[in-house]
Amino acid sequence: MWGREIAKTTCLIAALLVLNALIGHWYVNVVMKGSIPALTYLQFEPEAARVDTLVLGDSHAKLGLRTSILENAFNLAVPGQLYTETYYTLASQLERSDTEIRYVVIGADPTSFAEERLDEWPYLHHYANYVNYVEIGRKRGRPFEYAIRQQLGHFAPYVGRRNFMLSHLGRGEIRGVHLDGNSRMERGALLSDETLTPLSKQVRARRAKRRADLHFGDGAPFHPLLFDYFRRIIALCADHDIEVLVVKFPLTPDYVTAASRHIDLAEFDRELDALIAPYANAHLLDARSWFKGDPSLFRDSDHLNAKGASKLSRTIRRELSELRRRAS
Amino acid sequence: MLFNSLQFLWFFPTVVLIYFLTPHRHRWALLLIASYYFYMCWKAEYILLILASTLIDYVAALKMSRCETKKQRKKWLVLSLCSNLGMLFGFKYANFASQALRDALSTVNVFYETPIFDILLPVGISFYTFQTLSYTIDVYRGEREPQRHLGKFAVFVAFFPQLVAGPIERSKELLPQFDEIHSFDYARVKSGLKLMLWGFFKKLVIADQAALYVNAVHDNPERFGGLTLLIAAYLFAFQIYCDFSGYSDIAIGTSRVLGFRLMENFKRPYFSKSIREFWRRWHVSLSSWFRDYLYIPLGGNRGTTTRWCLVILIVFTTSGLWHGANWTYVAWGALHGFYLVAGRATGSLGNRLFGEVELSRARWVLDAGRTILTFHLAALAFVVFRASDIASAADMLMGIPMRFELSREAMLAGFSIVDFAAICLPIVFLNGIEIWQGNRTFSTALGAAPFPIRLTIYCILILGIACLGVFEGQEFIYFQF
Repeated sequence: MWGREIAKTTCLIAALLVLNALIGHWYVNVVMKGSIPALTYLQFEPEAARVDTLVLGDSHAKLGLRTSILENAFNLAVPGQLYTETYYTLASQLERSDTEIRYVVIGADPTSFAEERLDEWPYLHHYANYVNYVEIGRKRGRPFEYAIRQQLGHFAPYVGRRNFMLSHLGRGEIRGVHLDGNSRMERGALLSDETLTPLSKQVRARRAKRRADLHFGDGAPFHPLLFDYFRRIIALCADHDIEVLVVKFPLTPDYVTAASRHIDLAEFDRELDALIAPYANAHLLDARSWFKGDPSLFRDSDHLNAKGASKLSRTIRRELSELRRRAS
Repeated sequence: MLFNSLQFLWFFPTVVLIYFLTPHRHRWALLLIASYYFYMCWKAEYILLILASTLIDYVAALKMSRCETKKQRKKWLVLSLCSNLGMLFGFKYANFASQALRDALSTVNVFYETPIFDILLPVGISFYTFQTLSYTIDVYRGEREPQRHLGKFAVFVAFFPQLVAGPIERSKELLPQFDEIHSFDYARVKSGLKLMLWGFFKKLVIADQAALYVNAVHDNPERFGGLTLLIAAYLFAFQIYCDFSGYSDIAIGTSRVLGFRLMENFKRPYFSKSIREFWRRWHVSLSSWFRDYLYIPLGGNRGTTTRWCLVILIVFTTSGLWHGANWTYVAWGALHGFYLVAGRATGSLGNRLFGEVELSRARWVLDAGRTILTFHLAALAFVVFRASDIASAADMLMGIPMRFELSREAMLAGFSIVDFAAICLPIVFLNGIEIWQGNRTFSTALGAAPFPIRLTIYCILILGIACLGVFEGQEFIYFQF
């Protein structure tokens, strides 16, 4: 009896492993092949040895900085990326023998510290290779859960990704995960041609409110773990003599007003200033109220479009040039 | 703690391992600690309510057993009823009653600000309250002796597999099992795990996917035409069935792994040929509770037809109210009461019209027709159950015929065809499984199948959960009761 049971169990496990491998292969190599992180690293690898400036962070940095305007730069930001993941992204790049990184540009906007983002895992298969989720899980008091997620990222990255797989089957692209018809990638930067111009003031305000409610609506707005890892990024840069330009990206007044219903922006700014202050290698650029919500420069209430990114990037280039001059 | 959480993934194997390594005489303590921890993961301080309920009913039952007269026993029963129902009323119905009083007074132009309290509904309060009440009522009736071991009684009240959403167990079935010695039995454990897998599939793949469509429609019902509303009604019928029966399967499977037997709570209700049969197959633990502790004491089917109709309406309206503090639940219960009354009134007419068909080969056509009709009656009643208020429910029910439009866009309601298929195909699979299993339980039917079929079903369930499961921590619907 036990022999039969073992044989049957072995058959079941073997069948599941084979099917898991097939579905996993399809997911990584077909569904996510053209995803933003996949395309980013495809562009980055041939350039890695020549790059001395990395743009890191989430969609604000991804869309808000046109790296072709900066010198020797590449945009490694990923939409939805958490500072926990950014830290390990940077650490893995610094471990490369051919690295020449001297400058990092990183976004620091309220939404980047929002608690609601901590449980989103869109690119687990990508991050599982170099992010130490077990350590993050220990800090969050959920080591078991994070350990499971790490293993899922390696062996079954499609688990829980229903929407991605069905969207791919239906349309071949997944909005927000793949490039859509209005955007293109250039040295890692995601350039969008959408603008807020066609929308009325009321519609812009309504959409800004919806986004702010989505980012900060439930429970505590910020999570201390994200502040901790942001500090660790700056400290890691300090250990490697890397200058960090911390950028508060432009936001529309509608978004600032809507977000202010949930968060104390002045308190957030004070906390950020206090976090950066001890590090001589960190320099703050507050561009939040720049562009005064000019609809032709924004893709949505808290993301620049290609035109806005170009304009901001010219200022960032001047800041970086100044840092290079001081370094030499 | 939710069953469909990673926390449960380490909690359950840990409890099972320690349980079988613990000597039998101490196992009640382990189960009690595990059950209290399970409940306190949600909100620690509310464990005091379960403790209060446990102590009151333990003492009341012991006191009742020492009373010589029924009058003396009644005092303790009243204490148990008042304290348990008082807590239930306070946490669940106080604001509803206050609002209802306010609305009633305003209709006679009396405007009085009745108090509204900021109270969080304790998870599972309706379930464990009814479970302990059944115990004290059984002791009062002399149908069972009181449990003298406080610890085992406490485990009976708080037993984690069925604490928050049933099945509502009877003391004479569950309490003696805490005295049984449960050894590790491979076949029993395997059977329990199979049932848990089926429960997770029903919850994560069928119920939570259906919820995507149902929630989209219910958020803006006025935007949608009749076909969309009808499809949402069908999908909600399967959502609530799979959500609740999925939970029950996980609860029964979890208990079975530990060696405990819980009652079967759902018996393929959508294959019922009448509403009467529906209520023998749907949420069996609750409907049998109402039968034994409300319907029969009120007279049952003794007495005149008019009295029976009144009793039925009282029982089902109360059952509706048990589900939640909202007029929609009351209306849903009353609607089912009305169905039963109407079913009895038209029963003899049906027999006269179809009596000969019953005996003929076309019987299956009649049975199919009855099954479809019963499903539609149940599904349309669930529209009332799901709606936010009576007006929305009425609007949706009226909207089905009045705004009916047959089109692909109406069917999809903004979802892609792939998404819609992903929502519907598992429901087809569910019905296929239920037709195949017949009157057998899922575990029995699966155990009797040839190995290649079992292997295929296991792969479909496991990979279905992995690929199509909705993992955003969706609570079980019946948690809110």
